[in-house]
Amino acid sequence: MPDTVRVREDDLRAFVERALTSVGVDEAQARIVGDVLVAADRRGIESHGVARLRWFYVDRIRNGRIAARPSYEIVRERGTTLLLDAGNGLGHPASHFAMTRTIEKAREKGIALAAVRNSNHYGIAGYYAMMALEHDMIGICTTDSAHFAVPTFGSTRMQGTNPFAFAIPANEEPAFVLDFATTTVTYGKLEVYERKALPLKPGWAVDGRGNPTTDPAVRHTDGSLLPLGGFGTDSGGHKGYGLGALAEILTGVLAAGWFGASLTLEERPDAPSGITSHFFGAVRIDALRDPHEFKRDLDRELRTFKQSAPAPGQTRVYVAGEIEHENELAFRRHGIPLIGPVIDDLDELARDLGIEPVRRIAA
Amino acid sequence: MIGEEPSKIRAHEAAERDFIVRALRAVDVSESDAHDVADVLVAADLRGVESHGIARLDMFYVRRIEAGVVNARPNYTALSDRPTQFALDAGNGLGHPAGIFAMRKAIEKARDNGLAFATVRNSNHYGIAAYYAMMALDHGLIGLSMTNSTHLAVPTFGRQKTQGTNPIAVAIPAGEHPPFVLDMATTGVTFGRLEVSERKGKALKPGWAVDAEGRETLDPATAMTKGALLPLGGYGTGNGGHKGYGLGALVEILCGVLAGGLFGTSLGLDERGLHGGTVSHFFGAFRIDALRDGDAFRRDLDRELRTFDESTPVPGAGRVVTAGEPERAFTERYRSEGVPIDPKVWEGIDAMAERLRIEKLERFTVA
Repeated sequence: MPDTVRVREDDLRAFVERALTSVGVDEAQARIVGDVLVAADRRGIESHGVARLRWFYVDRIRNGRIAARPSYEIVRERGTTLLLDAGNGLGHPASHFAMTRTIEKAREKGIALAAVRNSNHYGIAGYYAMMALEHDMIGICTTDSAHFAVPTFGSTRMQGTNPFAFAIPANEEPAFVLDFATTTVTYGKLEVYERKALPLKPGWAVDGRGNPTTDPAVRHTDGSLLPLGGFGTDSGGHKGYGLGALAEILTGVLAAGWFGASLTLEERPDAPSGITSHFFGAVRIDALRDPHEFKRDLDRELRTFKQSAPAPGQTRVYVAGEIEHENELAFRRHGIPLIGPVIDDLDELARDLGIEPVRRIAA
Repeated sequence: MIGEEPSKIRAHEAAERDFIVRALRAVDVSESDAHDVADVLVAADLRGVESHGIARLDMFYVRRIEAGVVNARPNYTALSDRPTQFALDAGNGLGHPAGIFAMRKAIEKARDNGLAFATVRNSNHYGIAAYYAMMALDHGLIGLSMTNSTHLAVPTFGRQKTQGTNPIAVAIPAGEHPPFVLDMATTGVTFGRLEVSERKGKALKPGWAVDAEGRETLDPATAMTKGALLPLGGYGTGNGGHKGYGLGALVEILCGVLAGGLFGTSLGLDERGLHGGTVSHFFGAFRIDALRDGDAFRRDLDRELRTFDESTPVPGAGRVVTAGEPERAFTERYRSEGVPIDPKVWEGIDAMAERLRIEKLERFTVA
């Protein structure tokens, strides 16, 4: 297994574009996917970056499950709203399209929302919320996904990790970017613990009957994730469940896409596609108050958190998006690290597709 | 209180509402504002959220008006009034009428323009967040409501209180199924839950609270006197405490900062102290038919919610419910059986009635 390598973000983006155009995706769409995946890796969210390029996107296009050249249909459009049918194309360009329109509409009308159906996995939710920042707007984004989690007191998988993202611009401080799964942990975390043979923490997962478990092999025994807040209601598990259900209502139900029992699918390579729906929002700050004053106040607010005293044994208090922002600064300077199995997989993909592999930074 | 048997000493809903109006009229609140407050407080008691009902009438509202820190007759100022946005300065009046006023504006604007948001600053405690979100349901709209509050919770890895219980409420209309009504504090539990544990002499659960140094504690007295609440997800990041902290901070930003009200260190106040104009709120309303046919949406939401209702429960658990269902069951029950009011709360409101020289709230006892 090769060691971790570092790559320039431009080189990584170019590789994603090469891979996707070689399977028939048009250049503009491939560029957007490259941008979203590289943003995930640059922010240190490796689970949602190029590690998924082959399995989630290239393979599904090659086996015909995702349309390489989708036709978008605007199902309904009003001054402040948009419903898009993404024609079972890649989720990233469809989402980029919808969020761009949402921002344009918000510029005209103050606020706007969009829903997208018949789409696919779109990478990190934070990317689309963050598109609003340069327009002095607040960005909002959520998506549903194949089901991994039980509802409170349930034993059947009823919802995905259904993330919410909010991005709010500050002045000197990095933006407030909250991007979180509504489950306690993601499925990827179970994979990591299984590989390391470590017991799970209480509050992460249940077995096939819905009872709490710490068995790291729970994925193979019909187990499921728990909502944020854990098992039952004592520590607020019903709140995480409610947030997850809210995400599915705002996406699948509001977009007239897939929802409920029809989303109860393993996220396998042969799973049906076009099942994912998304939701976007943009809010102009200056319709409520002067944006410069707002951003200066947000600086003060964020500093109040950051400068508050840490608990014993802790070094500092962070605000949402700060760790990812620091990763971006470091990885822009030193290159994005790709661990052995990931670079190995990308090299193999390059050979399969007959394209140039990812260029590394010379050691 | 949550986790306790409801009190057997009850009041009729209508009598409770009249009593709250009497009390507020006695301290010079207008008839219309007094009715707004009564409506919100009675809704809380009916929904089984006793901590936010009549239990707070004296300490949070009447006494603050008597002390002159909250205005009985506030002047509202519209800071911004656009087709989809409205920003209000509530003139340090009671939070409930200001909340109802702003949410009505959001609803009107959403009916005209598809969706709308409203902020309110220089306001006060507004009761249950769900009340305002649910106002949208009568109009077939999705409703959103949030508020910040005096600080009770630490951030992840912190030891100083930087945010309140900062609730988020969302109400979404269904067809035949009751609506989806999510109303959640962004802390693991509310302060009231610590009080219940202390009264019962029970240890706290992990993930609820920290001591003065920011270390997790299971002792209710330690948590209540010098400690603080933890965000939803508990201590540290292992169980997602940073997500609850992030949500709480989001509410603080959308309320205090976006409304141009107080935020940050200026909200580090004693929740029960005499202060006013500290709180800001955020409201939203959204027309479903701006995106898809409203009837088709409601039918689909029925199906979605029933999928949850009908899913297999864990052995030993009753069944799976959707957000808002327990509160709806309480409301039905207490409408017919009377509203339960804790004996300690009765003492307090009786004393208040004597002080204000108003007729006491009529009560009856159930078996």
